[in-house]
Amino acid sequence: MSQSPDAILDGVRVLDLTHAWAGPLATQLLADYGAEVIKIETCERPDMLRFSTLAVDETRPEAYNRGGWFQYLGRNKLGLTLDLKHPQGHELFTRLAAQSDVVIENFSARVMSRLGLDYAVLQAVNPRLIMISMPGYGSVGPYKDFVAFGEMIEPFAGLSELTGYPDRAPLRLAVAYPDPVAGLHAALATLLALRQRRHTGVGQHIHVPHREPITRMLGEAILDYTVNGRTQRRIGNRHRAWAPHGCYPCRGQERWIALAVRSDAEWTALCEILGEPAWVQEPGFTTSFKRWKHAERLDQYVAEATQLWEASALAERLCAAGIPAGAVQTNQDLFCDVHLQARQAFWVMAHRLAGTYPYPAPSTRLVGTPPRLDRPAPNLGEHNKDLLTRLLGLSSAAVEALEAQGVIGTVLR
Amino acid sequence: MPENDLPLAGIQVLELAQGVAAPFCGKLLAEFGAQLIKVEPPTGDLTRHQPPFAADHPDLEGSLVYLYLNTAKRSVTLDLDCGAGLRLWEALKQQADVVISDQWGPASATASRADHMIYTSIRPFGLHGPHADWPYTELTMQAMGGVMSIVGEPDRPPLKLGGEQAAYVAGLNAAVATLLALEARERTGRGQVVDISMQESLLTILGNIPILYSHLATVARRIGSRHHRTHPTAIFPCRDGYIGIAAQTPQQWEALCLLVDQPELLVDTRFSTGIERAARADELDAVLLPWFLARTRQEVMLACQGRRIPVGLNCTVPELLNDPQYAASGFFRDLDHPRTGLARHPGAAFHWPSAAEICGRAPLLGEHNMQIYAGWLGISPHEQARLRSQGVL
Repeated sequence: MSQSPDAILDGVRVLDLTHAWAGPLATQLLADYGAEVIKIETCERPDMLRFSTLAVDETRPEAYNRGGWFQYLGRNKLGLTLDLKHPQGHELFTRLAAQSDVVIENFSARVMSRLGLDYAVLQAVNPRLIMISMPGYGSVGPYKDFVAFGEMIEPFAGLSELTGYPDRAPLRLAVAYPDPVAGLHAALATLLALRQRRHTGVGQHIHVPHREPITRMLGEAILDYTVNGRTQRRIGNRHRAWAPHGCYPCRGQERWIALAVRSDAEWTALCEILGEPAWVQEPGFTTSFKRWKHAERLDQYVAEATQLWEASALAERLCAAGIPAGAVQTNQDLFCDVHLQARQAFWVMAHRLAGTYPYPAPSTRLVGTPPRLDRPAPNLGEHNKDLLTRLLGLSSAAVEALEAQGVIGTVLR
Repeated sequence: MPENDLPLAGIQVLELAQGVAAPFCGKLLAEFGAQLIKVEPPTGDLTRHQPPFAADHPDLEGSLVYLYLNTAKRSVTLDLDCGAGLRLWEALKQQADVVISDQWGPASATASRADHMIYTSIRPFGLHGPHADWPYTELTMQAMGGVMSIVGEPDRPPLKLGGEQAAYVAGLNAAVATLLALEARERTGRGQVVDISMQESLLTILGNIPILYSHLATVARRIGSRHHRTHPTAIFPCRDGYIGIAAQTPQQWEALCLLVDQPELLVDTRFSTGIERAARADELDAVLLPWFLARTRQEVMLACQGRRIPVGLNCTVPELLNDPQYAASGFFRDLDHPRTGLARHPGAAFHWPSAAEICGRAPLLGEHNMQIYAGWLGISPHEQARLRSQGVL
């Protein structure tokens, strides 16, 4: 195998039953640092991400091995198909679990026990095994059997009520923000359990729910209610004390700048840079509190002036003067961001079917033991033969028999 | 519960950092057993000066942001702008496994030489690069990290996500990276520098948004509460407020059409795939919304969940505090603090099976000076008094 010998998770084997975004992000992180992550799918219902971010008119064969999002999250992983409902699939999985360090799954609450693969069963074959489950709402309580998708967890966890224009409905990020947050927590839980196993010698089963992590990221709004009785709501781009603090139009179609003025000195500097030194004298704008009180009129003033500027040029000017500012970057702009380029924040990855594209690199930068790109995402069942012969000692004939019986496979059914 | 049943028991962490991102990283490590010492300037962490305050009374000990982010930590004060302060810092560092920092000044310059120490830096743009020294706030980070371009409605300016999500995500990312570095140290015996950029941390939460451009040449923009590639995934109005819905799989779509008594939608070729439904979301909403508007949020949630359609309330803060699920899982916890009395905090994101997470209240400014300087460094009370009079502590 091409795992780099000095990768920090070298020798850690992870059976990855997760699908979609949250779980696969957790295992991507482990794989980037050298864990042997075995992604387990079935040919009937492979990871739904295989069908995401494909062109609407994608008609080439094996479309499920071409999707961009799957490529991104699947890098450095090995692909195994295994029908866990089939007695032989079940047995092979148990044998793999006997020689693995981590099993991670994000099925609905009862699936693992229905498959006869709950932690008690797996622990019996391997006491060192760590299991990470990612239920929507935890293992107890009235919502424990509710379905969870990241997109509805954002309002359910309280973030949407705090996101949006004050006079309109609550809003959310256009992708499922709770998913990566849960995924990062699952990676954290895995690393904590691996660490503790060094001392105890045994694994444990940890439940990382989907909703709690987001509510936790609203700490000060929660305390404002529990301590002060104040219910915070959405306030657009406004700040509690600073003004101007917002998003203003710039030259061109849909170009915007975000800027924040934190002091009178920054306000004076902003007026000078925008070529409106007279604003400093305006009685309504002389102090932070007055500017905050007159924020609506202030925003109109600032928007009039920023329209004459190119967004990133103005941001650069303001930042040089110590005023926090940044162009509102689209997905296109991110690829042209000079700073991200200088830091090599994108990895170029080539895949025979998906093509060659840049993808965001790991944002956990360990300078001394950097992450490695060993291989692109696995095709469906790409490593079936390798894994079953290498790890379980099956003969080529036995692997072929499994394929003939439909326990494994490499083609979507 | 014994602390040594937690996975980070015995790990000494110094937090030389202010604000939200790095302290959230410290909070996560402290919850799972690390001994966390927060090194504050004599004037206190920046967040000690930030509203909201308990009872709206501005006070170094009453900032709610501070009280939330610094649970289970100890506080020492230290003036790093003078030689005596720097010498004390060097002595403290000798005993640390991890330093969490948001600065890259004289205090940290020798960090990378410390053989066994992990130095986790959390900065807006990371340690290096053309924007490394740019000023920032939560708002400008969300702009430059690609978040604001996909929050908001098309007829209004782009928006930030509520609260301080960029800072929290960076802190979370840094905690994961620090755990990786601890794992590396177990194997190599060596510490290292961890370079966390808030901007790059945000790329992680964008999912397939960058890929929509690189693979499909699609510039993704703000679309209200909707999803670019499927529908109904949105926030819908009901009779008494809002719910979030994500009906994405063919099974969920079918269940929804039957539930709202619109079976003909299932054979309507305008709406056969998620992409087509997203393209005609307005037309589809015109058919679906009356059913939602005629019912309460609770009725909608229970009816949908009963058919395995992912729907949840749009919770206000008071609703979170009264949430039956959070009550059953014991998510919130009460912490007593001199300024707030018993106050309810969100608890850990996940429970540790073998021991309860650590959840002591946030420290008063310099509360542990005596304990740390005497206990760790052997500085006599007399010498401490002298340092205090010089403003070093």
